[in-house]
Formats: sequence, structure tokens, C-alpha cells
Amino acid sequence: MADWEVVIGLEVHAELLTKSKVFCGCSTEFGADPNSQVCPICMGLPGTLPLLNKRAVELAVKAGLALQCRVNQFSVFARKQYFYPDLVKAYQISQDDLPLCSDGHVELLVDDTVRRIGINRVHLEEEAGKSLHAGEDIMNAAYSLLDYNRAGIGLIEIVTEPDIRSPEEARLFLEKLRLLLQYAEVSDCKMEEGSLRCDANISLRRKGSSAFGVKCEIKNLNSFRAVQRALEFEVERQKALLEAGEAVVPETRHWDESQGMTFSMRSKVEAADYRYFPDPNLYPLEVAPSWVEAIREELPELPDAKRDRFMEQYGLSLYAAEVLTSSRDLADYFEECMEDIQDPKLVSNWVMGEVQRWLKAHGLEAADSPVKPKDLAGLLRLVQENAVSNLVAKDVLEEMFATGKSAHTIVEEKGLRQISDDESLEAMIAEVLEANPGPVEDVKAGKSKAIGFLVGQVMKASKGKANPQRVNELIRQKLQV
Amino acid sequence: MTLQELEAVAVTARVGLTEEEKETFPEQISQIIAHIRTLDGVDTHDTAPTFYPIKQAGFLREDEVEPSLPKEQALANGPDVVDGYFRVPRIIEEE
Repeated sequence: MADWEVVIGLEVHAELLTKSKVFCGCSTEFGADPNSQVCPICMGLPGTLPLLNKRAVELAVKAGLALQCRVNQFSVFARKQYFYPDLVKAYQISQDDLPLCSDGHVELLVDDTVRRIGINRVHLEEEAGKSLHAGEDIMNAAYSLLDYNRAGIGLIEIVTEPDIRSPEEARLFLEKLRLLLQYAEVSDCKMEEGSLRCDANISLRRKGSSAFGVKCEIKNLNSFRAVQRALEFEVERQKALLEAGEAVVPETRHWDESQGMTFSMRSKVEAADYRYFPDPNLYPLEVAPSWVEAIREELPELPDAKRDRFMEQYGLSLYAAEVLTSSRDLADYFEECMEDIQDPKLVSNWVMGEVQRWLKAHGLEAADSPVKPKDLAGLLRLVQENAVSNLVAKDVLEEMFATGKSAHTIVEEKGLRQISDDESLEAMIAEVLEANPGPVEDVKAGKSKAIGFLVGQVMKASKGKANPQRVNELIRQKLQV
Repeated sequence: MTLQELEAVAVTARVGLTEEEKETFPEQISQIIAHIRTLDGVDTHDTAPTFYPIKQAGFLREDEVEPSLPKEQALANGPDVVDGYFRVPRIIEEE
């Protein structure tokens, strides 16, 4: 890649978390019977008039604020016209040259460097219907089936500047964007349900050149991984063309996940004439500064601010703060636990490690954990008091996830309380020392590593219940090292 | 307007043209365009663009769910309905 610079811009669509559609009162609930959540307005029947959903405006503004955009007091809805079966009216109500929000940015940490990706605009529009293709995919389908339940759901389109410089950066950007939209509760951003979708524009240019190369638009990117893979494929494809002295054709290309390749869909040259014009059925949208300020009040602490506060307030490392703020749920979980047990290092290690591990294993989000923050605090208190060893505590947590019992109950029921009294420990140590004369000699000869082995044997004999620090101390005393 | 331009507009708008229309329309549409071009003579450099004829803030509705159409009614106008879906011919054109 020495000679080429990759230039990527993304267009991301996110469905807004409103109860009803953006221009009519039909429900937005996912998974309903096909064509059961439609009405004359979202079906585009003649004689109907759209009426804008106030909450949709608020959520779009919220997204704009989370992406550091300017919220435009005056914006205009326009008709984007094209023929496609999922578009009932043969035009989509969207925004063109006067969008709701403009000129924002998102900051990313890429290889320990802060990268700032410009946001060109965030605008409000409506969803199209959903097509099911008979056969394997759209390219080979004999016919398609249309469900218009999705048509008219409120959507924001987020357009980045062409600031992204690698396929990996594109994926990191999307992850950060999803985090921001989830924090702000604008969208649930479920790529698998299609509530977050991404198209990517990519071109290559000679390093040092300021002119853009010919770009292709990649569609059908159904996961973050697909975005990165498709772009990686496209970098190689375009590079091979350019190096062979051939031209890249400006076109829309379809990502085929199973083949790991992109394919030409239709020529962009003859397509894209959307003939935008202001929608005469809708007044321009006016958003007063006082309204914007009220919406700003609704905005929670955003991930970057939370990460910085976690480092400052709890003395956490950048890494720990990043992991803990990687979901709002997890960050809340950590902080609730901290209310009961003020040991940031202990709590953060457990939340990032064992708790996340069992959440993942049970397929749960932190908010739905059967082990509540106060339950974890109960367990960690036993660890702090040396009532259980770290090792035993891990098993206890697994049991807590499985049974919902408290740490205290499990420890008492199973007799897992750590053995810290010297009398019991010394008896066990005596047996271990007698059974392992070789390592004992090694320790006496100054090989301190062998102490670890002896401690391990005592732990084994106690079924993990001995207090390892105390065992270590007692062995040293006994062997006088 | 040339015949080529006419044909391009017709394709974009999905409008079919008869041979007779192809002959008469370019001339007629050219006249209409010339007529509209009269507006180019108006000095608008300090006039704000008009997006809507009356000055009025848009109406907004609260985010409340209202009943949708009964499914049978929603599908009633569909020429080809299968399992509650509208069926349409294949979407991607042959290369």
C-alpha cells in the first residue's frame, strides 16, 4: 500500500426509537405480521398528508448534539425520487440542502492516536419498506416480497466527511457511533434487525495527492465485520485495477458475505438522478434554540466524558476506563457497585473480567444481569475480608449467575469460607512439607520459586479454601527463609 | 430540448413515448422552457429563497400509536399478494 492512500466516507442510517412512525401513527414495533402496521399515509395513498412526529425531531437533534453538530434552526423536507418496490410513493421524504444538523465530528482512538472524523450532516427521513428476495439473494431472486411495516419509520442519515483512512478505522468509527447513539438513546442500533445500516464510499488516490480518485459505493454491509472485510476487499480490487493502468468504474457494488467479494449492481452513471425538491406537503421545520437547549438537557454523560471521569475519579487506567464505558449498562453497573464497595481496582477487575465473562456466556446485557451490582458487592466484601480466596470467589460468582443466590448463602451452604486461622493451616502445611522433601530442600537452598509449588500443594489440600498469603508466610517462617 | 434529452427525461420518469410524441415534444417543451426562463430576468440577489408559500411553523404530532389499517384492507389493492406480502418481479436488471 506504499503508494496509495485509502479514502473512505460512510453513510449510516439509524432507526429512531419512537413508538410511532415519523409521519403517521402506525406502530414501529419490530417483528409484527407483514403489512399489519400500515395506513394510507405510509402506504402513500392519494389524498393523504404527512404529520411530523415531535419525538422524532427531538431524537434527531439529540443525535446531532451527541455528534457535536450544529443544529439548524431552519431545515426543509425534500422529496428524493426514485423507483424501487420498497418505496411506495416513488419518493422518500428526506432532507437535501437544508438538513437538521451539520458540521459535527466523532473522536476515535486508533493505535493510541486520537483521530477526528468529520460529520457532514445528520438529517431526518423516513424508512423504506422491507423486501424479501426469493432464492439466495437479491442478485438471483426470481421475485421479491414486500412488507411495508418498516415504511415510514423515522430514520436519521449520518454522512461522514471522507476522513476515514482504512477499513479498520471504518469499523472503529461505526463502533463509536453506535456507542454514542445508544448512550443518547436515539436508536437501539441493532445491525441484525436492520436498525443500524451502513453504506461505504471508497476510493484510492496516490499518496500526497489532494484530488479524490473514482469512488465506488458498497452496499449490503450487515455487520461491523462485513464493513471492514468488504472495504479490505475493495482496497485490493481497486489497487489492482489502478496498478494495471485501468480505470475504476464509478458504481454501486454489492457485498457477498459468503464469497467474501463485492459485485457490480448497476451503473451509477445512469442511476442517481433523484430530482430533489422541497416537499409541498410539509412546512419547513423550525427548531427554536430553547428547544435545542431542552433536548441538550436530556443528553446523558457521553462515553468520552464518562471515560475521562472514570480515570480522574477512580484512578482507572485508560484501558479499564474504555472497557467499562464501552456500554452505558456496564458503566452504570460498575458505578452502582462502587457505591457499596469503594475499591475501584477490585471492582473494575471483577466487572471487566468475571462479570463480563458470565454475562457473555449467558447472552445478557449488564442491565439484565441476575447478579445485581449490590450482589457483586456482597461477594467482593467477602474477598476484601479474606473470607474467601479470589479463586473460590470466581466459582461463587458462577454459582450466583446460575442460581441467583447471594454470595453469603453460597459460601455458607458449601462451606467455602477461607481458612485463615494458623492452627488449621499449620497442620496442612506440616503434611505438605513432609510429603515433598525435594522442594523443601530447594527452598532451603535459596530457590524461592519452590515456595510457590508448596503453597499450591497446600491450596490443593484445602480445596482452594486456604488463605494463600498466610500459607506463604507460614511456610517461610517454618523453613526460616 | 433535443430528442436525446427528451428520451433521458422519459426514462427517469418512467414515461413511455410514441413515435409521434418524440417528434412533437422536443419543440413544445423547448417553448415551455423558454417561457419559464423569463423568470431568469428577475433580480433575486437579496431575496431569501422561498421553500413554502406561507410563513408558518410546521405542525407536530405527539409520538402516540394510532390504529393501522386492517391487513386485508391494506393488501386489497395489491395485484399479486402472497402470504400477506405484495409480490413484485425481480428487482435487479439483467446485465
